[in-house]
Amino acid sequence: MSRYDELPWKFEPRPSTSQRLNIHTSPNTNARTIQNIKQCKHIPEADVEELCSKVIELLIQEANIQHVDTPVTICGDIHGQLHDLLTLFKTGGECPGTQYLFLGDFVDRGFYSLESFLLLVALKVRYPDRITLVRGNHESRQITTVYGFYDECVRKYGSVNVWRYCCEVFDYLSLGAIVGGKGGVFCIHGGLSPDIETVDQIRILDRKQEVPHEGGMCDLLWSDPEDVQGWAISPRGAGFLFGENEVNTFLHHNNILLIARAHQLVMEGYKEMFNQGLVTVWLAPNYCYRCGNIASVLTIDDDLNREYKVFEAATQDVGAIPSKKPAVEYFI
Amino acid sequence: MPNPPFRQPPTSPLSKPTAAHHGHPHHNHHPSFSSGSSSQHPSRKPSIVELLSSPPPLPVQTPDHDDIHGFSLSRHTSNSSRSSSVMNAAQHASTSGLDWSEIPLKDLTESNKLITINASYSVQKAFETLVTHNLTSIPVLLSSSAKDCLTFDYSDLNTYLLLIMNKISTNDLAIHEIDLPLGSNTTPGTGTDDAKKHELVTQTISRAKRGEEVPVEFIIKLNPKNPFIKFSETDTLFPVVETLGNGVHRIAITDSDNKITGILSQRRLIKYLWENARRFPSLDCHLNSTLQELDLGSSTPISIYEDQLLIDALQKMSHERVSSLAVIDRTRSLIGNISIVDVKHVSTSKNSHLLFKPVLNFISYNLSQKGIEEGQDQFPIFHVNNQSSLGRVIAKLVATQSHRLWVVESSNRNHSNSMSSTNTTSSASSVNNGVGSLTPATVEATLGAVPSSNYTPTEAGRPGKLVGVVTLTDILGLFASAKGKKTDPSFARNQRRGSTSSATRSSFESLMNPASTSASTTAGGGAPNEDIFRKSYVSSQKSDNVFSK
Repeated sequence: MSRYDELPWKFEPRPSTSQRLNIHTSPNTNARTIQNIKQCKHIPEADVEELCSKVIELLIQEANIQHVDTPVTICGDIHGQLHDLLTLFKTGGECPGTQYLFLGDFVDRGFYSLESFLLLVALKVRYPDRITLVRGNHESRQITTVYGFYDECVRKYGSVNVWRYCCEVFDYLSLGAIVGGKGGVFCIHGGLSPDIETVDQIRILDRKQEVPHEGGMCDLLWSDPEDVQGWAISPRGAGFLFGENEVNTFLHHNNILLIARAHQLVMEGYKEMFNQGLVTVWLAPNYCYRCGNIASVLTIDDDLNREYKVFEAATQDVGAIPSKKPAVEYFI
Repeated sequence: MPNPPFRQPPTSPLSKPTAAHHGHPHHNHHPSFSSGSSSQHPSRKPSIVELLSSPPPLPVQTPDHDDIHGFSLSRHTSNSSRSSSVMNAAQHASTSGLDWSEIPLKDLTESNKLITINASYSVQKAFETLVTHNLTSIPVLLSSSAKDCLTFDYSDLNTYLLLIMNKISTNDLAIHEIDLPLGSNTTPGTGTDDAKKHELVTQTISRAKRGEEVPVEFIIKLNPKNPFIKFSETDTLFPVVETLGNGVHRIAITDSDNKITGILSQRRLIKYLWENARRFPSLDCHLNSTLQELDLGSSTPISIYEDQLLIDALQKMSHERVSSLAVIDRTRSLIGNISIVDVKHVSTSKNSHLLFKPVLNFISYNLSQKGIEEGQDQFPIFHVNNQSSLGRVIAKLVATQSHRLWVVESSNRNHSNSMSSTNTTSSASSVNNGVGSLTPATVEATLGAVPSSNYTPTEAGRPGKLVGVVTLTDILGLFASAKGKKTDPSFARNQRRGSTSSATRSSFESLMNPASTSASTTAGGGAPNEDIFRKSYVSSQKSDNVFSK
């Protein structure tokens, strides 16, 4: 239990269903679960609870800023577009063969938020060292109640329990990652905070909570880079806008070469800014099935070189997306 | 706080070093854990968050100030370079010498952006014009002389929709403002005249229900609204701010021919004042005070529950004559916001089913739409608390392009790190926040947590209980009253509520500005009775520039 004593907070791990019932889950069960999720089969609520419990036991041991070795493929917002996530695994390599780092915003918007999230969670349980999950601003109770995930869970399960289990997992997700150690890549969902100058300051935060409305933890998940002098208040109503100077200062102070983040739709899939000091990556192609953007992932190799791979939305099965007949619109 | 920075008197804002600009001991914006920066600097520097609650530096180009970082809010800019840029601005202001109240309206005209429509446009076409040009209001020219002018905005569309859905009665409307067709044997002031108007209104509504075109003139006269106030471009900002501080949302700017050359809205004006605030010393005096200290805003915000139907929300906005409602859950926690402008999303058959669904569905739809259009999602609701400084409030209003910020209870909710069922999982915690809150924990928080088995989204990370609202009207009214002019933020709304009774529009208008008293007693040409009601729009010789000196 000594490992738990190092953590800045106290907790009591909840016994998982399998532990309570003395059932020993085997890797085979996990593999079956993963397959079922990929095929959008209904996962029994008890299994969802168990899966969430198990992943929390893993996430508890992770740091606020998780260290990730190279090579790794970094991915941006998914927003429930499960089929595009599957395309990614097909083209970028399946986990565990390829190591992945996801920058949050797994849920809301797309029709398969739950499956997308559970797939990543199941992969984390199965291959804990081959996939890293970072929290996005949508991994939050307040956001998911208005942006779609809550509704999806209630629709698919008839109760709020599954949503609750997932929200508990959200609370344990890391806030960011550093790839490759010194001179490496700092990865977060949103951006920088005026309250945070060093990575060490992030390390001492208490992350196990709902995303606050303001402050360092909120800013990391909500801020955006912008051509501003210094800092500005964000038009989003949370987080800040930060300019090139702030990026350079942060890179210099923390001995990193690049900030990799997501959080904003990029038509070309990825966008570098500030003399290649920052990049935005985005994983959901043809966002919301109509934006017409492409997606991209960033692979960092052992020499800390960057390689961008782009891809378009997969041609979907007819049954995959609930179709909307284009209706003639009448004025009232 | 070991070295509290000393507080400068408000009379000399431009000479005080910026470091002390926000040395207000009452609101504490210090980040709780940026121990790194404060230990490295001997004097306490304002945090970035504090700096952003003060007006932005002016974009002054001076030859001896090459260092572009002097204008940056970067924490590594030295105080001396920052204060020197402020001094340059002071010199600039002293040479031009004008305070905000003396700035001529002409400086703010954006005439190249003016779009107008004709009164004969159909409501549908008028709506489409708003959408195409991304406007919330548009002047409607009543005659070819382009001097008679009303506006079409989303409150008109809302009234139109509610009429078609039989959700408001004609008694709630300004029927007397309707013109009977020429030659219809009018006998002013008699019952038959009113009855004829009623009949005309009913007939037109029936036509609307059948999907026939209705001229926009009909709805903009019928809907109880404030008159479209005009100012000359030679007027200064002072009377404009006073008018806007009384609750009017926008005014028209006219040239020497009385032609409309531009529109100035509350939003555009506040942005201008904020971005130029360092030129205007008199604006500075209240920026450090909190909403509570200033007693600013309303403590009775109008709201609707998340599970009520959207059509009820639209009806409430119409009935209360307001342009937005806070959306709360049954414990009064703030969830979101509905604006009258949102009616544009349910004005076509495609989305009309949303009218009979809960308001929360509509908010979700709106937020999603906006997020897709902008490529980024916004926070569901823009809010502050009573301990927020005025500067912070204005900065947030300008950044989010809002008309109002909802005021929530500031609470120090404890967050729990335990997964056991006896503790809440946390909500908005101030422990790690850069912005501290000084009010004691709410009763709910101290009474203890909700067991997680009863966990509902209603407790989940909500910003807090709704306790008030602060609007652009309130702030502009504050600026006007700082110059000695008392304003009433509910004036315009009361005028809208009262204008369904006869002969009130022009009399209210004269109340709003004593300079117009002469106009209220004369009638323009034409049928005298009708013109009394339409006096504010008729450009007779006297009433043209009712606000000119």
